Amino acid sequence: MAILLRRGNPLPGFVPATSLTLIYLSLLVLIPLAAVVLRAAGLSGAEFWRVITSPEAMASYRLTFGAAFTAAALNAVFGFIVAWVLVRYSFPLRRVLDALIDLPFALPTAVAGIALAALYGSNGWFGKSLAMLGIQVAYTPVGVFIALIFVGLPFVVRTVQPVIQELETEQEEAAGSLGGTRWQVFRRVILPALWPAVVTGFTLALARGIGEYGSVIFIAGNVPGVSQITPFVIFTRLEEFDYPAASAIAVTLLAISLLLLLTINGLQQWRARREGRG
Amino acid sequence: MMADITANAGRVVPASGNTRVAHRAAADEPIWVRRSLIGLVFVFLGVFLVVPLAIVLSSALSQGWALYARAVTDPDTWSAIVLTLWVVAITVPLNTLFGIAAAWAIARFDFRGRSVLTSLIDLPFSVSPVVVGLAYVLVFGRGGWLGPWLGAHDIQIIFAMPGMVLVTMFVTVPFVARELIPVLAERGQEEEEGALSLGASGWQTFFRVTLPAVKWGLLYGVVLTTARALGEYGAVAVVSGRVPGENETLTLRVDMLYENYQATAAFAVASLLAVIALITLVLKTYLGDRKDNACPLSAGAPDS
Amino acid sequence: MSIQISNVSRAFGNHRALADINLRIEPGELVALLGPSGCGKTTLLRIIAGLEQPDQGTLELEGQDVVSRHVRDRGIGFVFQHYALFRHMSVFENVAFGLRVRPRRTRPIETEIQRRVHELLELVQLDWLADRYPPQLSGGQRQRIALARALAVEPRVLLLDEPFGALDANVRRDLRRWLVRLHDELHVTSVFVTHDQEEAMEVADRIVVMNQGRIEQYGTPDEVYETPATAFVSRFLGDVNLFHGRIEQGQLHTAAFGARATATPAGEGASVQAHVRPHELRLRRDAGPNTDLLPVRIRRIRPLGADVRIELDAEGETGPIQVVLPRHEYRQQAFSEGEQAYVEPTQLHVFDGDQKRA
Repeated sequence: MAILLRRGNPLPGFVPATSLTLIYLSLLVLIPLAAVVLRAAGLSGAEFWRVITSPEAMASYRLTFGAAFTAAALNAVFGFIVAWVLVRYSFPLRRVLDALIDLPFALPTAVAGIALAALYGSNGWFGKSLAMLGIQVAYTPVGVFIALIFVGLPFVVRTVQPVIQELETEQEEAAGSLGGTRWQVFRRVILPALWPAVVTGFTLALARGIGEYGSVIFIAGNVPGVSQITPFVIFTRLEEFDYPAASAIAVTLLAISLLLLLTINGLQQWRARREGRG
Repeated sequence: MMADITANAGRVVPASGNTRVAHRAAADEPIWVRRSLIGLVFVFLGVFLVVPLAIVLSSALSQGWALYARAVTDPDTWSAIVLTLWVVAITVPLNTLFGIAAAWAIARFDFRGRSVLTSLIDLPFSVSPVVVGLAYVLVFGRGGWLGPWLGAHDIQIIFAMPGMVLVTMFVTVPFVARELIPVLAERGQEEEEGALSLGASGWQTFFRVTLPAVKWGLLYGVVLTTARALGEYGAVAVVSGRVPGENETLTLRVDMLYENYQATAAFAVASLLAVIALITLVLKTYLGDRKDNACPLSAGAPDS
Repeated sequence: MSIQISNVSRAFGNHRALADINLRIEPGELVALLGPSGCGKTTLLRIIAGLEQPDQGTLELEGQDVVSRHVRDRGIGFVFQHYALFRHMSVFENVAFGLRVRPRRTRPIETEIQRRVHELLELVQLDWLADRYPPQLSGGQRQRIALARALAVEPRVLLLDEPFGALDANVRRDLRRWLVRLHDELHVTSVFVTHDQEEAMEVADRIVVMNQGRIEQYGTPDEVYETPATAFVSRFLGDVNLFHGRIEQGQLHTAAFGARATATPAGEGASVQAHVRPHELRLRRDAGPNTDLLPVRIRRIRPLGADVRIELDAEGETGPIQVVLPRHEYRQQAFSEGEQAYVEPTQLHVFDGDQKRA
């Protein structure tokens, strides 16, 4: 009986609401993106291939995807721990920390960018100490990596947190009463229940990291072939008025992001089915 | 995608407050494990969140209040503030209207292509801000689709405020809809059907029943949209003419000052944005709680 | 107001929720739509309300075709299963809603609204709750407020979707009786949906028994109980003992009871099922001269309030046989567990054997 959405729904406004949605999205999102794709399509196949595989572009992919992947992986591990601690343990400042998790969403990327640049620069609080250990962060891939940790931090925490909350401690208690050690319970009961959420969070952080611009460029300094991320390469082509090349690289980036988006949706559907809500 | 996460954010906070903290021993880690994990979280969040925030505020004031005040009240900064507020003032209402319409269509009706539409609304989250800027340059720029026509009519969109508004609208388009869809879906449409059965018109139903029911979720979405619109950088950087005092938003002003080795002034302006971010976080937490508590009709008084 | 439903069908995707429904409800009647979940009863109610559209068929209220008329123009009052009270409005405002949203021309003035709402709240005996909000109310209170709200617009038809479904057993019993009294007072044509046969029997003037999108039987509580039209109705309205048999020479032959004369729609040689309700079996100690009694052994005796339920084992029967005796009769006979006895049906309902089990 709980068929919420029905044909012949008595509620009004279907046609105006759908039309407005479609027109708005088309004008604002689809047509401009189509312009990018069409501009890239203006290139011949060979040219397109040459542009998107130029040494500079290739180096930028390696950096962008490498840094985004490692940052997302690190966030997966720490995000899991943060989520666990925030949900399960009681300690001072817990609510403050919880609210602070969303800082990377709320803080403008440019502000984060200059803050990280100042912090990890050769005279910065952290930069100085790290330099003594022989680690240079500013103007290197490490800088990109650190900026992307900042940007991606909330994703894993916020996907895993609600799942931990819904996790019934009864299951753990049952496992415990059957003689499992805490570590066994974690490995066999908790982790299997949580890892789909961790993977989703990881993918979201990865997708965000790939497109990130503002928080990275200040700390990365854009040394060609060393610390130049793909969005910056697009930016450079744009400033040179080389629109076809900018578009071609942008399409490559878009395609990969969309692939990730599809993966996320697939994962979420899979999760929904697993949790018996599909 | 981001809103997907932030949507969860609010839901997360309140429940954990009192319910899940007291556990029996069977579901507990040993005390030393708990302590070390809590310590680890403090260090991790301290290094990656607290210290960057602190350095913005401390650098802003590193040369004293006088310089801070001068940086903040500089005419170019002032015009950046005004421009930013304009961008927000145009973007937020339009995207709110869109978000309500989209959420209504998706959460209340079943139609072919509904899931495609849902993914389309999410699409802007997975587009790099620089690509957004590029897209608008290709449509409205001098070499773009509408470039010749716009040029002939002396209308400037790229390197001017309209372009900056448009890209900001692009990047913030999903927020309101993403917040409202789950709230509407969870609430169900029985109350609206009740209103209709009592003779209410469509608008009466919407304003008297739907809107009050989802107001916290809506406000939450508006707050997220506003925060993002204030802070957008990459996309705006592409389409701004970058003329100080003319088409510089606050984030571009920060960038400009920083690149010109006026770090203290840059951090002073940045501190304004950081304070807004902190206010956003407080609002988010508060609205998240309200949104959650506004929901179930479950408990109630027992029948006697 | 009369309700005439003709040839109404409705499908959700591949699922046929309603198949060719024909039904007439007379003015002032209190009718129950009874059936298991998924039988289409709620869909039918929502179609009457205009919250759902039929794929085909017509619906007339007082002789007027209203299929294309919007829910707000049908003059119905709808009480939702979970009440659908407006959570952000006080009880008073909930009840006043239907009056406040009227066009200016027909909207009563504020003092009139006040008067009407308080009158209704008194009718449902909850005037003292006017300033509370729905989440502060108990389930039973919400239910009555929902009813008051629906009545505020002076509906010509009152529709209730599982009105007592979400309530505790005691509250449910009280509210049932209260609803009957209210209906006697107001005499508004009312249709309610329920899956509880006891509720339907107690409250309704007439019962529509539904199964898999079809109407199995329409009649008074007595009719559907005493002369069930189908095996489904028979089973759904209460416990039955089932015996398989065959029609030979116009007589019912069962392994348990031999040959018996019976009225049956089934033809010669047809395999049939015979239903006997627990109180329609007579339990006795000695067979006497009768040869067609079924010898049984008493397995278990359970006193249930005014009645006593006795479980019997019989050779050749798959499950235990249930008998219900009035307590005084049980006392007189003083049966005990493990004893040998005989049963004899006082009444048999015979149905076509091909009919699916409920």
